[in-house]
Amino acid sequence: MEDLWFASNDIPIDVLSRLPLKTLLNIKCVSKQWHRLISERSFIRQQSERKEPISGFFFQERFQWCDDDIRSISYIPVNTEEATKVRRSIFDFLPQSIVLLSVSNGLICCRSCFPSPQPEVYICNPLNKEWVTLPWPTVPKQSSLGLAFDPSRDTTDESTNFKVVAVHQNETETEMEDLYFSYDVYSSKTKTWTRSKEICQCNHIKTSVLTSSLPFPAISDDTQSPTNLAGAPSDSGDHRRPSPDVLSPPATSIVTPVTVFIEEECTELSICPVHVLFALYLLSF
Amino acid sequence: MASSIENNNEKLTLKSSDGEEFLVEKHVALQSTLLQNMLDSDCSSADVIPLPKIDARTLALVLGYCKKHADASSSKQGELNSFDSEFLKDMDMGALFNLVLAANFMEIKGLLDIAAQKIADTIKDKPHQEVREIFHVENDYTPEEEAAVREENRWAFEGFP
Repeated sequence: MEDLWFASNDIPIDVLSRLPLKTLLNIKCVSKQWHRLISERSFIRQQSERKEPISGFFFQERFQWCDDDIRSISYIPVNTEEATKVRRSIFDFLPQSIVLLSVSNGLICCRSCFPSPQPEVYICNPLNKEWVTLPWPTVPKQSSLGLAFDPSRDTTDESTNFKVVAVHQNETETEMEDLYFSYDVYSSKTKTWTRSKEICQCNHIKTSVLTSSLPFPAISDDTQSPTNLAGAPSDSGDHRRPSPDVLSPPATSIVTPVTVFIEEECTELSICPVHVLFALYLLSF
Repeated sequence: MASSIENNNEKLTLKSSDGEEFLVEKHVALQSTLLQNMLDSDCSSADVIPLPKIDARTLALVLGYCKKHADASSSKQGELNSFDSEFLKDMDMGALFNLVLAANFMEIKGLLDIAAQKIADTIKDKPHQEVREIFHVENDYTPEEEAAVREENRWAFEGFP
């Protein structure tokens, strides 16, 4: 039956791509041929059309009044029937300790822990332990970074294209009280950071509070605007919000720091619970 | 719609891999994109159309599915859905595989969808050893390799059988 079954790849792909990710990871153990099939880009693309449930949550704490980063990251899977086991070594495959920044369709954006002599940005897929390194953009270290990766927009199979948007707050030179956000965009196609011409003027009230959790939805909830993942020229038009050029991570990828007070130590920590839907995407180019 | 009613009494003959012939009404055969394309080109309906990859047992099932869907095309979807699940209910894996292959060859999308989904549902919660048995796949991993692959992603879905 196997000969018949694998006579054409269409049929196993058709059947296996209907399976949820956790089953696929499990049946990679069936044989090398199945492993290969499940690791192919064409298969991954077809499987990704399936809606996956949330896999789990990442937790990382952050000091409120101290610039040093907390290195440990916990992963808590959600689908388990048994007692949940918290994992702390998920990102050990990366060359440095990292701070989680954002998650988009299974890919994770993170940066080196500060202080760091040479900070870097990593885009990784912890499922297959792949990563790519990006240089730190020319922005202050407290800038927000968001990952935009939407595989359904990219019809070619050859590579996984993504963008990273770094947002930081500036003061206008003329009027002291006016603040604006500017955007640096990294494209995996050009492998460079580019300063966007667009800025976001904002009311000075409370902006300093927002710096660490700049609301990406503000630049992403306009679904009509071209999100330009494939690097196509964008028609900036007359948008007030910098949506066309600055790409929009889907709402699920937003890191939302939640501030909690831990009374005993009188230390303020912000915790970033990030829920993640893993996917099989390959980063190797 | 009008043309298919008009042509209702036209029939064509399909021949299975084991030589059995099936007389099929044209509007039933049109459920298959393959046959539809053949009929659209100048294949005469008087000809016998050989289906060398499909045995009589499978072809009978396929045609049963096509007849139901052709006749019910304007009736309730709910009725068709319950027919579909009943249709596959007690089918063994071998029959399901043959059905998927036949539906793929004859390009009957609806049938391919439900049969492939049924196979997927069957293996969804099975440990990989059982999947191997169901598909008669030979394990070409060494025990060490297999353990390494298994260990790779354990953390992501802790608690899977």
